[in-house]
Amino acid sequence: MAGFFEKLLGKDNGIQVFVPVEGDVIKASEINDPTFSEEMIGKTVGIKPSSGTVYAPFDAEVLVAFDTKHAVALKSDDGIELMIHFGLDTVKMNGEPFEMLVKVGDKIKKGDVIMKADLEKIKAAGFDTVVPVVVTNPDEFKSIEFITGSGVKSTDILAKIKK
Amino acid sequence: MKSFNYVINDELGIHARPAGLLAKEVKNFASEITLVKGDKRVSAKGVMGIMTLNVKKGDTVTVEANGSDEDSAISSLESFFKGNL
Repeated sequence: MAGFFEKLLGKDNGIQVFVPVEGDVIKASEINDPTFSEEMIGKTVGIKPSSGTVYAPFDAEVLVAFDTKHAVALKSDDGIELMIHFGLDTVKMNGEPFEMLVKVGDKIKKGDVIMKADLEKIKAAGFDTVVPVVVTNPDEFKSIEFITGSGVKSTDILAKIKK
Repeated sequence: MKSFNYVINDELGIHARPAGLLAKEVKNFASEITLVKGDKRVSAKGVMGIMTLNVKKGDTVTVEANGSDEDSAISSLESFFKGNL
């Protein structure tokens, strides 16, 4: 029902960013890494993942796909630059638990599977699986509102952004 | 305009955290600061721009500063690169 009203209200509700990783959405301040809890890279929210699948949260172009496959950055057709960083300090795992399904310059559609992570491997290696999601160009928008909650699905909305 | 070259020592290159730290450092200066790798040039004020350079260990980058405080910007950034990358 909510989806119906959001469609009805259209742009007044802002640009919708869908959930890229299913799980529990937490505030930036609850992420155990100052890069993200202090929002050093941009406006940040966290997801405690229940699955390792990463979905495109909007129609976008791939800006960055790290060789270490732990993070991907996208630019939406509306100009939102978003980084999805799988786990904390997982750059040190050298790509081992990750599969990157896109490359720089790829055009992707909302809901496309763009990356996969093996949660068990990340946990076994002693890393935190929490996924910081960061709008890296927040200054270009009037407001960015994250929606926290438990058990969110990829069809739920993670953020509403107004130009 | 002032500049310096730096060869990246850090095993992990310029990933999210150092890109964030660098952009933060750069914002302390009024000068326009550009990061160059090969034929790609980006403003070092933007985290995403820095990350698109995909800088890895062994890569040479050039840092350029252009503006009223370019001298202090270059000396601070040289220490930043030596200390962090």
